[in-house]
Amino acid sequence: MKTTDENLLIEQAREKLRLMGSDDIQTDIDTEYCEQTGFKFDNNEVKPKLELLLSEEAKESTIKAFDFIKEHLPQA
Amino acid sequence: MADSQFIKDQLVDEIDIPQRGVVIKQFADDFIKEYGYKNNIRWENGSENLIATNYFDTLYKDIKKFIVKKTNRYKMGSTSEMSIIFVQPFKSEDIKRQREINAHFAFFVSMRIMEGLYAKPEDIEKDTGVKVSDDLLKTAYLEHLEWLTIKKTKEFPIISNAHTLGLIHYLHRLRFCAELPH
Repeated sequence: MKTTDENLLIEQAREKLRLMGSDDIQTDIDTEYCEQTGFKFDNNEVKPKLELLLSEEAKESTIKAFDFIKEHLPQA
Repeated sequence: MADSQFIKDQLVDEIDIPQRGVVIKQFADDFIKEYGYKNNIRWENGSENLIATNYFDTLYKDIKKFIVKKTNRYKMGSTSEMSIIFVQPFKSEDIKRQREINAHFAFFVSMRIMEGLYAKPEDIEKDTGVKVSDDLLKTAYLEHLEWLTIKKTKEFPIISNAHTLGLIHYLHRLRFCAELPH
């Protein structure tokens, strides 16, 4: 259950995003086709835990990529 | 750092918008800590909530509605990149510099997601015998960063970008970890 403050934060964010033009955002999914045909792609569900997302291993591996980029792009 | 008990107990696809904002801000703090600010670059306060809201709204409206259970780390990374490029959380008077640093931050976040949600260590085959040249990896990284810098901010090619990220991640694992994504 979200608190009133959280709901307000989300509504304020949505309003600001609308002012930035979020209503014009286009993805590469043909939603009209999916809705007309009842298309649903269903597969094995992934249920990762958030602690994986913030793990030190992931951070260190990402830094390897960015150190490599920095080496090849000095202004990065 | 986000609260450790909250992290331990939460599944990635169950965290809500404010919690996603906390995670995005953590990534931003890590990015700034590692690479610092250049002159006249600043993080706009509250951007993490805009990114989290846009990510959630886009993923649930157009992706999860149809690709019900196949919203994997590459689509999460791809949607995160698109939301960051749209919001442009790092601001600068120099628009070229602004676009470049936001492109780097977007890729930093998608790499964290792809690496964080990687297969369990026991599933990983350690040595594939395949070598990736630095030139190939450099081309993959830099062309993706260049595209993130110049792409239209309101176009979200989430699926095709997820495919690109999948290939980049494959090369990354081969080059740095001698492991393949499963």
